[in-house]
Amino acid sequence: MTRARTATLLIALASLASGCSTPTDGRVDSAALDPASFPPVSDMLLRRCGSLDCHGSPYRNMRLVGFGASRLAPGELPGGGPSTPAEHTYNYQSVIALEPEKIADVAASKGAKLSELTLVRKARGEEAHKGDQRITPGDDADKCLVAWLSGARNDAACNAAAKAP
Amino acid sequence: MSRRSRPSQWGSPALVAALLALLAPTLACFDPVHADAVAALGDEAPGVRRGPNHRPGQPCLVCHGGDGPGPDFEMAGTVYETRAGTAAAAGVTVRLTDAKGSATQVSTNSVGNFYIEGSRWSPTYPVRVELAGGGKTQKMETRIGRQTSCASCHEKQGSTTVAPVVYMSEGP
Repeated sequence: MTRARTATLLIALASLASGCSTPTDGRVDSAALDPASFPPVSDMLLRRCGSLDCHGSPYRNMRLVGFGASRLAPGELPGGGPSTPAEHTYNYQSVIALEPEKIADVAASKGAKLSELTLVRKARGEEAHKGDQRITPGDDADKCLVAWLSGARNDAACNAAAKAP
Repeated sequence: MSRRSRPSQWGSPALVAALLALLAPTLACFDPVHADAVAALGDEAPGVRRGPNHRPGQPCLVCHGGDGPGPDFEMAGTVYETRAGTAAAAGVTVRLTDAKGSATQVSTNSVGNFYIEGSRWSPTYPVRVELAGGGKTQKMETRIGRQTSCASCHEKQGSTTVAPVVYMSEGP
């Protein structure tokens, strides 16, 4: 009797766990967030967040690589050449890997659920962040990020934010 | 040996508890990571006393960042004449401007060191840096986000993860 109860309990727990699992193939579709339109966003993030003492450090989460940050190519210095396509791809993966399910939801909602993303909350200073506020809602960096997360692009805003002093 | 003999060897439980209570704050304040970081800097160079001229090129804020053993600095570092990082750049003006426009400046000393005491300036990060001296100027293209020792991000000839020393010209 006790064994039967235990088995029933285990089956029930297993059912609950499977109900919360990730998609059956273990992947989260982030295709709505276009990697091809990411390089200007990557440049903006490098400028605002990617210095060597912040997310440009190899010891930080949401690790960014490229100009002003750690580099991928052997022999390349942080302040050397411009960021490469491989570095932009690396940064794209860093960003979508933070909260893959949520970022896919945000993309699917065309940006309606932006505040669900830790990336957005921390960058805007809405959540505790060691680096404090790095993006002000409505500024060029914010417009750049919001557009991309919404499935659009605003290269002009990204470029302006990436070149700001 | 009976259990009753222990107090005579170690003192009464009350005394032990009192000693532990006295030691607790000391133990609680001991940061082994910080202690290791300070120890890793090694001894002073022969013939150089502790002071503004010591340890050029080292990450100053390890000891001057608030946890001791040195006085608190907000920012500090060393400037070199060339990228080789062998000759100090003395008399260079280091201008620092924070995110809100608050600015300060300081000159490097005879070994290229500069420092800003914590009580003198409280910037809002990120901070931009410009150097001027000997008819040359240098502007740091990226900004300082939070590490306020130059040597935290600038070391020797640089690598994929650190920039070269802070220098005024490429050199020969």
